Amino acid sequence: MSWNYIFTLFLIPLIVFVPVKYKCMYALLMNIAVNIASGIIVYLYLTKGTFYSYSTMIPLIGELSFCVDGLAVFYIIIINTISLFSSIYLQGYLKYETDPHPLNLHLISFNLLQIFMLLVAMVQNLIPFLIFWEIMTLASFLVMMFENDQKDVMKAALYYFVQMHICIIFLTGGTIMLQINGYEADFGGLAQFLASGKDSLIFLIFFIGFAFKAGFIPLHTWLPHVYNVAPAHASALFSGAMSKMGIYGIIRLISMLQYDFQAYGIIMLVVGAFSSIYGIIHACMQNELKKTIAYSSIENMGIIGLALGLGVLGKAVNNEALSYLGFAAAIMHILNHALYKPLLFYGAGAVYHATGTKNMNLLGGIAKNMPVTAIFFLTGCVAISGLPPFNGFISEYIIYDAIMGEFKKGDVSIDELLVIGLVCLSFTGGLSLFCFSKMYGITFLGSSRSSEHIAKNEADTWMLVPQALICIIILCISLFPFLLINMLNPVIMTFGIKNIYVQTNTISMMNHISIVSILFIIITIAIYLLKTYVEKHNTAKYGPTWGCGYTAPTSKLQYTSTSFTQNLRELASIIIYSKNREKQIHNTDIYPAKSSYVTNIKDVLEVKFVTMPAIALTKFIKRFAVFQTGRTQTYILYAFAFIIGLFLITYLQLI
Amino acid sequence: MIGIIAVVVASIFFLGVVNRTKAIASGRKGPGLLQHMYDIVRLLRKQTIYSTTTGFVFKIAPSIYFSSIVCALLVLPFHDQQAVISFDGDFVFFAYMLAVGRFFMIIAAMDTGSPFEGMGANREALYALLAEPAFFLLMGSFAMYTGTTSFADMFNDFINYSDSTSIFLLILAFFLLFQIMMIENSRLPLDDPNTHLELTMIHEVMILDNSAFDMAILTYSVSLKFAMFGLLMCNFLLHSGMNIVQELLLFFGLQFALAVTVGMAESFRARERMKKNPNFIFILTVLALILFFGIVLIMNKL
Repeated sequence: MSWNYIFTLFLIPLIVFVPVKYKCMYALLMNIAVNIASGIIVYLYLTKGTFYSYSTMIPLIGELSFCVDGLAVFYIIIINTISLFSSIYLQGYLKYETDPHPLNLHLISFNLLQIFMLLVAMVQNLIPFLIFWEIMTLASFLVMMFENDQKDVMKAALYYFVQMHICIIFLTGGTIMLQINGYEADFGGLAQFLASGKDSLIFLIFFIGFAFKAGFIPLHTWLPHVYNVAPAHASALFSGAMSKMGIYGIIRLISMLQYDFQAYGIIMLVVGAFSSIYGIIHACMQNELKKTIAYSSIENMGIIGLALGLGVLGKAVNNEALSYLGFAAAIMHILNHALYKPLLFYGAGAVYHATGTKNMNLLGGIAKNMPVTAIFFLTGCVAISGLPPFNGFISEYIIYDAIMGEFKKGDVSIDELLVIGLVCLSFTGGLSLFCFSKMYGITFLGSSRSSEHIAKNEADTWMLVPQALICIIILCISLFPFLLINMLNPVIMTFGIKNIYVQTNTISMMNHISIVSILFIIITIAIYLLKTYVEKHNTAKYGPTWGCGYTAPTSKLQYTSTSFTQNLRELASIIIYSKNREKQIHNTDIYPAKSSYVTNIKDVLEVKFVTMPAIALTKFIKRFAVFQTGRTQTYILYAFAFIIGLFLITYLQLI
Repeated sequence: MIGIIAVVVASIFFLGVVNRTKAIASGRKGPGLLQHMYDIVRLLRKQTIYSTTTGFVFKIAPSIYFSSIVCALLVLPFHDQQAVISFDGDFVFFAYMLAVGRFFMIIAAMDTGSPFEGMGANREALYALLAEPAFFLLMGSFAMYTGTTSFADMFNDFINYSDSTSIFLLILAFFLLFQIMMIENSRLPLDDPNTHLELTMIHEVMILDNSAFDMAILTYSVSLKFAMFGLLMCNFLLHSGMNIVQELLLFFGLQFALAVTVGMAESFRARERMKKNPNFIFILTVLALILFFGIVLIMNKL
């Protein structure tokens, strides 16, 4: 199956010889080639059902075999769609790049990233899995480093590099553990090992490894940095597809699980619930557009984790309805998130492209000059806040339904957990409304907050096309969710659920939601038409905003992102390090100096789990710096001492 | 359908009763019961004035706000009279529908570029998000108690007048729903619609720049929301022993009682300080948790 991609693998580096102007176009062509190759796989799946490739022996690596089942196809479709959209988008985003070398590296790794994500989604053997995983990570590392002349980009890249290799250590450790215990190093062997119920530690090791990629707290710290500095199309691909590969791994693990459902269900539910709350509160606090969207990725991953946890708990208490709804919600949410998150990143990228800043406190009023981007972005904001009639609501709704359904019949040990899920989910819903209304309001509405960062005209058509396509898909899912749930059934079957009654019940629910959503749109349009009819008789007048009696308001008086979050910041001070430095003007100052107000927000978990240990480690290692004298003589002395030491040890037969 | 008609009728008088209560409590004669409806009609005839800062969001937001309330109303049944649409977990839809309206009102307020409206938007968003868990916990408790997840099944003979525990639950639930209603409508103790200073307003400041048709539907939606929550509460009291006339009488009686309560509260209570509002709303969540575990106890699950 990988042979489909080999051809393109050889073609991709030829981009070096393409003139700068056509490089992006070449990358798009390569992307389409990969899409066609994957299209064949999807077609084979649709005609034949789940199928396996012959396993081949590869020197040094060992056995290599692929399997295409419902889950793999689901991921193939997501990866391909998002990378196709991103490839279209980058035609506009990188239009004015003239330097060929960074462009070569960027585009080659961009194409490689897509191919290796696809391979990760299909491969069966763990050693090739690790290799593909590593290449995927390295490719994404190169992709994100595009603007590598900036200091924060390099810092984030390093952050990412180190953390992703801790992730690899966990995955490798799990594989080694599997082999030590005498099982085949593939998914089949892993399934046998988990089924034997001998050692459940291996599940946790793999889970932690995958959780790094997915961005569950407290392993999320790389995510906001990376998404913030990567180019928009890359951030979209990372959040839409790459970090979902972590979820992919977790889903594979769950489908192999035979014992201890309750314990793992609780872990996933709690980690998911707290990730969602933590992520969205931090998203609210950010002043940078892309960082807000990045933190909300953590929230969405948390919701997916919560849904998966519900599904596993359903298996623990033998409640097929809970399992089905939990897993269905997770799969739906993966898809939904893979749509609206890239949409938001594309919009944020367009804003950055037009204004030259990501800081919301400097933006404002963009909707006037970029109306199309503004409408697409609004769609994304409403969808991600989980509001009807958009698709985000549907997956969240299924989770609510799963929880409530279990309340009906469940036993109390689970009810307590479900209450955590319920409270966290409803709280997250409210917070995301807060976060995205703020983000949209500050960035796109009102008037511009600084004279330097004004969007002059609408984004490039290349950048608008993928956004429009995503909006269309979102609308289709939103209005006809029952079609989608039918299509996703083979994927949900990966978890081994066969209850037909639940499925039909869910579909009828989806039907109702579809009807009310359409009704909502119709009623809105009707009221709006009524309004235009009423207004026809007396034409509207335009005037300045009511300034409450103050006659000389400037745009700087507007609420900013920082001021909007002030009261929430006080409430959430437990999980937010916020430092205010304030210099006020006192009445006694006759000639007041310039006053200032600086708010600095830090991620508590990042400080606790990354920054402080890193500082401690550096401090410890620095003690050995005395050996580094910088004089050649000393170094020769060290070598001499080492040789003598070695000689003595062997002479005294110590080893 | 009968539920919607009843709510519309109740909504016409609701604010009138509130205002009359306030007037009587402060020793005035007060305006007629339909005065605010006349105001709405007057607004409909006026010319619209838009701020030059605003764009398309500001123009569509009030329509979306109003239609979201109408849609939320569609899923509410009137006891055994079916709602227009009823399905499992429709109360999630109910809550989220109200949230859609709020989302658009918030961004519409931001669209004017006014610092005061930004302030109001921020407060509305914050208080609403804090009140969200309370509502869902309340509904979750009922789902557990009744074993159903849609409004229609939940209300079907919820109350059993001979069972003291169910009455106790109902009192707690009524208190919670009443407070949530007050928060949703930006009334005391969070917000005072009669406040004069923009700095202390929440909801009123968000609609400073709306005029004519938009203002009319925004004003009316306050009444509609009150009456809608009234219907929600009333549903818990209805049971199949009543005929339709009794049910309607109970419904209007309850609406009247609610309106008087709101009026009395607004006459004799001052609003909370802004800083204390979050604490107040958190207490609602805690109460909802108590209710939830109370139900767990009652159902002998422990």
